[in-house]
Amino acid sequence: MDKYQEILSEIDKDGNDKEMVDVLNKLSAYTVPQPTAAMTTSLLCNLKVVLQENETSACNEVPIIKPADRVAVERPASDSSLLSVLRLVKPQLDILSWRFMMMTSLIIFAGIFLIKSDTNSLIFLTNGAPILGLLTLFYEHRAQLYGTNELEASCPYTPAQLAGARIIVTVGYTIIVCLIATGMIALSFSNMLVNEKMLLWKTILAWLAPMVFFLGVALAVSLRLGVMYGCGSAFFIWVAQIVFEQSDVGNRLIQISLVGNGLIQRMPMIFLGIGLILIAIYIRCLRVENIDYSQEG
Amino acid sequence: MLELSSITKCFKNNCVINDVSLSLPRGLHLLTGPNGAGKTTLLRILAGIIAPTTGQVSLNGIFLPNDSVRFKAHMGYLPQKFGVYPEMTAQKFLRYFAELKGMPASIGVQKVEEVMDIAKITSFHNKTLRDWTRGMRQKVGIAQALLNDPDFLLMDEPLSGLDPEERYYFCNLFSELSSERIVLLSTHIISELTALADSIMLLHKEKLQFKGPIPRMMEAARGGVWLAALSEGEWNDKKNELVVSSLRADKGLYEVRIISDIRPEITGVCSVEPTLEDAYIYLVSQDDSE
Repeated sequence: MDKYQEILSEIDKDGNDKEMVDVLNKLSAYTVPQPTAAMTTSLLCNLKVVLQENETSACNEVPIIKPADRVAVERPASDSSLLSVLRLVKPQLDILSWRFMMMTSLIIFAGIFLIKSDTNSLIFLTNGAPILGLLTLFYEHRAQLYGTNELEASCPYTPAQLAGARIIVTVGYTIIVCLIATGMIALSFSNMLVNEKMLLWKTILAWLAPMVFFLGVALAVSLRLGVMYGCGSAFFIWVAQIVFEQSDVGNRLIQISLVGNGLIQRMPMIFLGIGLILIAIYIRCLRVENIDYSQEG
Repeated sequence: MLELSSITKCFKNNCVINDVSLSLPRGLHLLTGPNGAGKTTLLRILAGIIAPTTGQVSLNGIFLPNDSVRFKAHMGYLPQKFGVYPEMTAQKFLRYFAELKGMPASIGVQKVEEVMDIAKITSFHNKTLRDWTRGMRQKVGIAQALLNDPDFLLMDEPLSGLDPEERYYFCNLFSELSSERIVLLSTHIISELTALADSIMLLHKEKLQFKGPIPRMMEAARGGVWLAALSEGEWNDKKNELVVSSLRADKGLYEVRIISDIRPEITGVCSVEPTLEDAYIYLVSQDDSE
């Protein structure tokens, strides 16, 4: 009976609980039947099958990961900063899908072809280059939009190296498309370059300067607000510029800037300089912590 | 060995982690805690994505943030929330990350095939990620974390979105990987990893409230877990005043596991051995009541 009381107190029951004492009495009186030889054999057979199954699944289920070539994997860590940036250009080029490249370059080339006029084609290219640049920049930085940036930030490159490679791809692609477009203008409307004595480098500068300037603005704003707002802000400044160009004052300024050698003619150089400074500031100030993680646990 | 010394992280005036120090040897370690406890922030610090306000992290003598590039070369990381480039196939996506992890193309191609096989996504390799379900994308995320054969594998909620069979497979995979690596998983699903994990850490109220082997965590809750069978009426009367770790309703009878340091005033209530979930709720509720 002491044993019963001990068991019952363990399960917080009263030692005199009649119902529980009856149960314990029945359990004590119960004798387990002796298993026959056939029963033992059957049990062993069943266990054998189960154990063999477990053994096989344990061996096959989890493949062993092979060791990576550590030296090769660690190489980027020991590379100089510029080499690391150049190494990143190829994967960043993969982000720029061929569909995007086809569509954007087609719009630029078709625009020039449809305008069929020398000065207007150049104005189209001058106004189109920043938009092409901003679109490419946005497309190249989709990581923030899709949420792959945290995965990318865990790779052995600094944010500045990654940003540098993306800027190379963005600027590189825009320049290639615009250079081809400049070639199209020069070949189709050679009067502009011969009769109006407009040098080729000035033609290139006409679209390069606003493109770099607007990219600089977008990137500088993106430091605080992200690439989406950065590109958006640059786009609104671009729209304001277009509206200004349509006004009489703006139109006169464009005409003056195409010929002569005064301060107005140097404006593209000034904008190019400002754009380059803004891009340099962006790369210098870029940290992954520009992404706001403070709202998450 | 992964070592954290006095890690504190504050966003403006809000401290999320306060003076956390620990050492993790090879093995499978679980990081758990209520939502908003700072688990994800701690993991981002360990991944070198955000810098701690104070404190230092080191992996086998490589320090963060001073040597973050070398640190990251030895680490694989799966964030809690991540996206994909939808127009890419899984193969292209993984090759992109192999290149970002600094692998030469020849090694990258080989490793991509290998991790796709491990994550069991080989048969879908040509489908664009746009068409993949959340669970399938989760497997791509796990695969990319394994690309560089990391010494330190860091995963934030790796089992979310996976079905029970897949969870079983990946739990075994993490256990297998932990024999040669430090594997740290932040997870709410602790029951499935109970038998496999070497240690568990409970992060709550900015601090590590517990760190040690799982049996010790369960031991901490011994004497504080009670089992009671209640009628529907009794349950409705008492449910607001009880801390409950699990509830099972069967034919109008509620079998309730109650967390309490003192015996609840319920007829027929009896003390039971704590499970890991009981221990988790016991420790969290202890901190809340302080």
